[in-house]
Amino acid sequence: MRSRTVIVPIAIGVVVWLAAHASAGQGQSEAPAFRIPTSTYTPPKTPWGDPDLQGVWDNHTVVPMQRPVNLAGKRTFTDAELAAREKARASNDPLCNQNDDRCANATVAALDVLPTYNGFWTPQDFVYDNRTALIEDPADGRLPPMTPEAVAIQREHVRLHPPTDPNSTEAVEIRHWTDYDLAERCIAAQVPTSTMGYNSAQYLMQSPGWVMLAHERLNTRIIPLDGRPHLGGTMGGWMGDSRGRWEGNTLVVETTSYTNKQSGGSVGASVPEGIPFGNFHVVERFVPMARNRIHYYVTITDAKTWTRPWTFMQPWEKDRVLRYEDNLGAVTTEPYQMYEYACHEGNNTMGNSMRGAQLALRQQQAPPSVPESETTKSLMGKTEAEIRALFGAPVEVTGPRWQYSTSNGILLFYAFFEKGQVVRVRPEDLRLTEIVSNASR
Amino acid sequence: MAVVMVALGAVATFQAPAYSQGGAIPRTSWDRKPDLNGIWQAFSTANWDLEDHEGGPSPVFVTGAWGATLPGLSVVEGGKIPYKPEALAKREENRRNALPGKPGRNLSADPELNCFLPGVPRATYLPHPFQIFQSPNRLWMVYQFSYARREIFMNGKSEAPIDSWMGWSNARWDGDTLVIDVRGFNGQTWFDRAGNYHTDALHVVERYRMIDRDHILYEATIEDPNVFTRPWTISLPLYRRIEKNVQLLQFRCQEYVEEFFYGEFVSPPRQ
Repeated sequence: MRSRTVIVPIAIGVVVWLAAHASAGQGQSEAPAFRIPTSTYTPPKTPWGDPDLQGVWDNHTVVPMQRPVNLAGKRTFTDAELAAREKARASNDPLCNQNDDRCANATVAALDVLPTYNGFWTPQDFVYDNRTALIEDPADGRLPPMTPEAVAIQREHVRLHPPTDPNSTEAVEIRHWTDYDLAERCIAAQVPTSTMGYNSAQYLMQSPGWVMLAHERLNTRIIPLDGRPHLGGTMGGWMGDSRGRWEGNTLVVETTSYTNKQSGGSVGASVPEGIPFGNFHVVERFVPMARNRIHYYVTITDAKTWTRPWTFMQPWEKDRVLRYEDNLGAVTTEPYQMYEYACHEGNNTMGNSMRGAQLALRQQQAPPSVPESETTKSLMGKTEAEIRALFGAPVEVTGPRWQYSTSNGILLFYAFFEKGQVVRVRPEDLRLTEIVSNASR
Repeated sequence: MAVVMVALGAVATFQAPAYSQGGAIPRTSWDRKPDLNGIWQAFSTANWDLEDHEGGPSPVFVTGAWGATLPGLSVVEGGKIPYKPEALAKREENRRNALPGKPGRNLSADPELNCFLPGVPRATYLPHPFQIFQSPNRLWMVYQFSYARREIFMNGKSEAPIDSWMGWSNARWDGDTLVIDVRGFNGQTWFDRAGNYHTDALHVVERYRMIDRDHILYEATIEDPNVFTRPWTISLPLYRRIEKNVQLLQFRCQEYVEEFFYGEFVSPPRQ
């Protein structure tokens, strides 16, 4: 196990290295600032002599990129701590529905935190990892300090897209399609990807002179191994331009030439939102640890953004057998098979969401002069019988939440009841006449 | 840093003198089957229309000769696609709707216009290269257009668990010809910009036969009893891209249709 006393002099070395290479530009080899642990495992070979790492690799994880502040100094969990954490996590719940007693009996406050949507989508079968952070270097498991330039970029990004919650520092407001992150736009996941939430697999395919990494979501990376030069400029686009080589049994991939259009964030992103990654120099090291385990180390160098390079690691596991349980408790298992991820083809959400954002902004600027008595806000305090008398039966009841929709399934509004009376309604500014004329009967 | 020099076969094509043609079919070191590894492209106008088509003006006049239709001869054996009469009427309707001339996701337009996944066989003859990755018992194809891709199951008879845009592919060798049986399509793709189409009953059998080191004869037999009176076949050559350092480049066209899809929902930027 590494110790801090070893790391500190190395960290100083990094600063010296940065100063020495400040004008060298991209494409230089990495100085071994942080030493990637080696492995004694020898993988099988392909017929043409490369280590054979082919197959479906999953890196589904719950370990955060940065070590939470309350776990400072704690690098790993014990088995007992891991078991306790697992128990505390939500199970891979089916959607919260009418047949689910927890939903039916929930209070409004409890409903807010039930895994009604995301719990269904995020499987809880993680690749084993007992660490408290993905970041290995710096040794405190936290991102190194950002440069003043990068801090200013991030602040400006948030200022231009202010959060709705004044206590939040996350960019929220949408005015343009480029305000969505890359994954929401179905363009790419940032390279390197880290935590994907779901569909976290990648098929690693090899042919003589090439590696192809088909990520289950979005990215298809094609990596030549023949020593050709990088494309240069911004030709690498959203995923950057990757060149690979074998160092012993470790696949080493260097990526540069990213587009300079994008900022960070998005699902699977390895860097915080608002950080442009056009200046990234990324070195990935796929270290084979066992037949079905790779330790995937990534070192990101970007002197415009961070004061020193940093490295994170994710364990990858091959040939996992996944277990599915449906609403009725039936269990199926199957070897991990990646399916087509047609993201853009089904992306109705972005258009709807932009339309909503546009309407919200217009209302902010010129609130409609409809008296509250004519909007959904006036439903507060009404009884179940009164709501039924006004709009008929709800389309769906989820515990304390009644849903009304149009005949083609577009959500109109939710009313939340406690002790038989409406205590919350969303949205509050919908004209009652619109509901009466549109509601499904 | 060590350049990986591969022991046998496939990568030798990279070191071969550029721009020569002919030559023996490369074979894999592991099973002596034709080695299809490489970057390939159809130099064909089939994506405009599988059947005979004349050159024509751009459908959008401001794009002038840039947007013109390239002329080409039919790649369909016998020249014509054997449509059922009512299906031919639908093809004509598709042709009128192919380019709706108004913004937004338009599901009656050519799916290529929306940057939707191209399906098979269209992915093969889009005006973009694609790369074949072949290793023992594994085969993938990755297309430059939108990075569309297919995992192809070797010697498998697996059934499509669900319909998809690119279909579900099982392959086998018939002598030196790679035969890929593709089913499980969702019925939302077209064959070209001219409205030639199919339903989710589509069944495609592709045949890849190397005729020399740098050429594959590509054939696809298309069957869909909802639309056609009999199976029919297209054939066209695929050419190896032999430029030094050739690689697929980014064509994530999702980005190129964003203004088209979402332009009307933009709010002025915050100052």
